[in-house]
Amino acid sequence: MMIVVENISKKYKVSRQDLSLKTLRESVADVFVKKTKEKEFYSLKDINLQVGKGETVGIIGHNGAGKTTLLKILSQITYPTVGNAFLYGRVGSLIEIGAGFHPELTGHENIFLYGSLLGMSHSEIKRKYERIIYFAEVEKFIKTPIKFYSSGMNIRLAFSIAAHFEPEILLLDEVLAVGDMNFQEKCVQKIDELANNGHTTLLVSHDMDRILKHCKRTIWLNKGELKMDGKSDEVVEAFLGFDD
Amino acid sequence: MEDNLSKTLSLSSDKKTAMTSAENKPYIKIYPDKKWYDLDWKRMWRQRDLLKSFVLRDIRLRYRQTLLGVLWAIIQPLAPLLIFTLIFSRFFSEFNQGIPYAVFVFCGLVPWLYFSNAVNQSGNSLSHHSYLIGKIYFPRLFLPLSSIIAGGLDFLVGFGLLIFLLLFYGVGISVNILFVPFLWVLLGILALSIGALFASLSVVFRDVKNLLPFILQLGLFLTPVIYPSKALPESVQWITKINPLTGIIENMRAVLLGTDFAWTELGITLIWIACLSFIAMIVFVRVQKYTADYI
Repeated sequence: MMIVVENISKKYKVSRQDLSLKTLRESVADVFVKKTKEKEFYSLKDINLQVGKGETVGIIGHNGAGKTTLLKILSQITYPTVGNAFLYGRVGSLIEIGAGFHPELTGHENIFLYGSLLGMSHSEIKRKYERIIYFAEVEKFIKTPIKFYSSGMNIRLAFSIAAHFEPEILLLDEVLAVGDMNFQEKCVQKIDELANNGHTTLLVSHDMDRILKHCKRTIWLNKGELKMDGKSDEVVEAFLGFDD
Repeated sequence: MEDNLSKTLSLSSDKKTAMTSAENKPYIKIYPDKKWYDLDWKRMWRQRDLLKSFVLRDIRLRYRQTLLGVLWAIIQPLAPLLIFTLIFSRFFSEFNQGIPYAVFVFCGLVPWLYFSNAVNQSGNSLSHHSYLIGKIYFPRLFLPLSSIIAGGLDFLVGFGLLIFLLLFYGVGISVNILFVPFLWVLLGILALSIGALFASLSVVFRDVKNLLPFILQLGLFLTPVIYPSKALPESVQWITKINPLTGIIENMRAVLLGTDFAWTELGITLIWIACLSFIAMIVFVRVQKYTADYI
């Protein structure tokens, strides 16, 4: 097993989410004034999941079903309220590619910044450097600050760095829809390649064709609960036929 | 021959099972609770190149976009030096054992500017990077820590100017200068503790961000930077005595100018550092868990 998720729940307090940040005055006031009732809601409820080595598993569900929350917990961005998870390998989390790019820095500098943010060492980046800029098709502009890049170039560079990270476990959230058609195809091929090389992948997507194409197995989250876990065609069919 | 081969084969398969059992230890464990000391040390070591990247980024950004570039690192300490020398030099001459005021004040100004910039940058580091924190995991301590380290370049430039000033005024340099790195490390740890504390508090309370510049401004006057502690009336000398920066700044002067060592103050500084770093760690570990949810 590469990913083991045990009884994970994530609770949010709604009123706190609205405020998101409290001021000092508000929290001092909270001590004296009767607390406004905080509505609790579960973004994830008692999720159990095991993913084996080399599996590519799709995650589908309506907005607010908890797909991204699950990915964020596995990426260690946020913590579960209850439950444990164990990951048996280097994790590459691509909730949003290119997070951490700095517009004032050159392409070259951003490769090292973003690469090490993902978890690569500098020597590893140096080793893959040529391949990264070749794949991204930005050789000519590598000494230019990326604020002068087109958005397409930006995304290509980000994806290229991420794709060369080669983690054992890949967590993807709708990042496939990047760049022009040509580059999209290249990305899809790269993902296939990663999946075929024994990488374990979780793929969150709203695009059922993409899920059917890449994942043999799919799980369906509904209002934070794991509604179905099985073969992709069966799960997708059930999901599309489901009317809440 | 065949026997040998099968032997190696079985050996290698033994090795393989041993390896897979080692692989069975999770690489990443996710629990709802973190131990109070768990800053994710292992991950910090594994991802140490990221710290380097952050430091390089901070340094590049500070100097690249400005017209005068690196000159700012020189102007920044020289401007207050000039102002303070013009205004205060005649007041404190009787306390200074014949040391020119410009040298005296610069010995305090260089560590103070480093400290206040470092606390300011690191104190805002989490809220500045809120976008990043919600998108990807990395050891969060790298954010305040990189500000502290990147500020070291300013300190080095300032220190170079200080040495120039010492020679210019004919004060000379003794072998005691070798203690400066030690004092600098103390200053860095102190700044990191306070900066990390402010960074985590400003995640939970918005106001803290506005409070910080005010506190730092006040700090300049409560620290013997522009005046010697001895110049204060005795009834209020306790203020500089309990100030954690006094032990560093007074000893910086002792080391460079040959004034008396302030051992008591150094002890007080060490006690502050022990307490503050301990508290800062507990608070930071607690807060970093929720940072992505709050921001």
